[in-house]
Amino acid sequence: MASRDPKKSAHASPESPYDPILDSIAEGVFTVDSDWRIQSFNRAAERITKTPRGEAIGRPCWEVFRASICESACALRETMASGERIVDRQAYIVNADGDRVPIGLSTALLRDEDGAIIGGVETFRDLSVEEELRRELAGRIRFGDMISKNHLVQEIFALVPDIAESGSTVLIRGDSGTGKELLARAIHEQSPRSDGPLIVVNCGALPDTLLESELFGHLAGAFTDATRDKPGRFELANGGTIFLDEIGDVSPALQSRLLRVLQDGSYEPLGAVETRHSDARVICATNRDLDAMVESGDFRRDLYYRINVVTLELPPLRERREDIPALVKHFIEKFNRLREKTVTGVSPRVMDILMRHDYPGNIRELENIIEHAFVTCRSGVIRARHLPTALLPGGGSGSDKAPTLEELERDFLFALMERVEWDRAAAAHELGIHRTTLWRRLKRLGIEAPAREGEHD
Amino acid sequence: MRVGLTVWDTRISPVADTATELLVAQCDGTTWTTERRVPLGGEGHGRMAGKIAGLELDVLVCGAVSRRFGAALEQSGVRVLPWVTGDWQDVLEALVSGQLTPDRFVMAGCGRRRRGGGPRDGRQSGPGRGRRNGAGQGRGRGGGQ
Repeated sequence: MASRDPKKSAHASPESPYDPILDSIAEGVFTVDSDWRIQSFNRAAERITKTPRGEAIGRPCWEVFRASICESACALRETMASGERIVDRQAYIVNADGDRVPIGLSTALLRDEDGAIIGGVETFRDLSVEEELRRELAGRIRFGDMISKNHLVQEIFALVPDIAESGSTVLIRGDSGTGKELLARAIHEQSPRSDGPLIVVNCGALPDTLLESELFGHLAGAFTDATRDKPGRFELANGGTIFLDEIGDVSPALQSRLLRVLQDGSYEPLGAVETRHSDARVICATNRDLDAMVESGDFRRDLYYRINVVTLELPPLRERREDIPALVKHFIEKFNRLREKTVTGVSPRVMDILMRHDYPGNIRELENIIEHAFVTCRSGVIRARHLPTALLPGGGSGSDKAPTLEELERDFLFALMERVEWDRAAAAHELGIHRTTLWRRLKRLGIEAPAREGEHD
Repeated sequence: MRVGLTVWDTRISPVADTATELLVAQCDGTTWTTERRVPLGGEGHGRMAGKIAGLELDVLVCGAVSRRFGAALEQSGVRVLPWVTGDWQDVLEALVSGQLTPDRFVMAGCGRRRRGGGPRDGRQSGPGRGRRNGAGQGRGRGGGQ
């Protein structure tokens, strides 16, 4: 390959006759000589990398471009070696502000009049907006494994990225079954510790002595049955997150040990003399009134202040009924996968029953109801007779009642509309009736397309 | 002072997030010696930060570092001197001689970040001035483990 004088390259003029042409291109473009020093750098490249052209010219490309593939899989190096162009390879760069910018990049060779290779050109486009839109579309009502369009939950979704990034201790409040563990998981998965473990401990499920051993571990011989060393959950959560569910159920004795590990990460396994250190982010959850417990002396005030750094409160399902249709759809998809069934939805009557229920067990209860329905419903639409009897008006007397003709028609039309994805023309064609006739029937039976993901309230 | 440098061949790795090797060097006043080389990569930010924190460095010298990885390092208690570029031997030399100033060995476009010092930006603790120990064992690349 023909080589330019690197010293000459290093002192290349920031202005080149090709700059106006390159500047008119929306994609970032830079060229390098055979020593990988940047020879031209257009305005879009300046904008994407947040690096002024004057500082980029003459510098090795990796000092300016700072791409995830510079070190291990440089596309330009590959092109220089093979002579083959690379088109739209995905990577990310770290711009001068420290932002990770997703990019799609392409490469080509630069040759002189004699065809000798004198360098390479790299074009790249900023994919941030596309990625953001994709995330937004996917995450409008979904966040991790959580689903909600409720404004209170949406506010929590909006806060999670910053909370996840902060590393602060988080306290999640909410009734049983409101999705506290899912929220903890979402925070962990968005945090810089996402590749580390998420260790879940239900503090209310174990007696005090067992819980202590579970949290901090023990050495062989620490007690009668301790035949070998066992690492505690804090040790297992090192580099990740520990989720302490039902924190309000921890005894006062154990509260003081928890306080210490929360303060400086130090603890001693049972039977150990040496102090150990855990680098685990702590997320706690409770369905109990910790403020009242502090006042009554059942929960240490200093521990309360230590865990109450960032508090999130998940509303019960009865206060976010608008989420029920999307949750029902989600659980039907889940159980179709798990049970290998082809249930298409629920009848309007069932949806009406589900919307009116109070859900003392919250989302977990709704999931159980759908799971129950899957026992007897193999395919088609879940009807009232598939629901737990306690859920039906009159304590289940309706479960054996034969459906009326109108109910049958409503269920049939609803299932059909679901199948054709609410395309009235397709449904009318299938039924062999006019679209206006179909529209009248749907109106008479009160059948409306359920709100879909992405639609506003 | 125990210094870590994310390295790529003879130079500081351009992106700390994707660095594949970390060089640990001991800087004692006027001299530096390399201590060991630690492979990195194949792990995410949290684990990588935990691994680096486990080396008990006084400072990590590296190239570009994303906010996310910077936050992970900060949470793990690692002091970071980011946006550094150049041959790692020259960087160490500048470090022990007090020449690693915000306007030297800095990546293009990143001088203001080094000078301004964001929350992730580590401060250079005084390594002292002087010359490299010519007889230092394991000095340079050959000294890595």
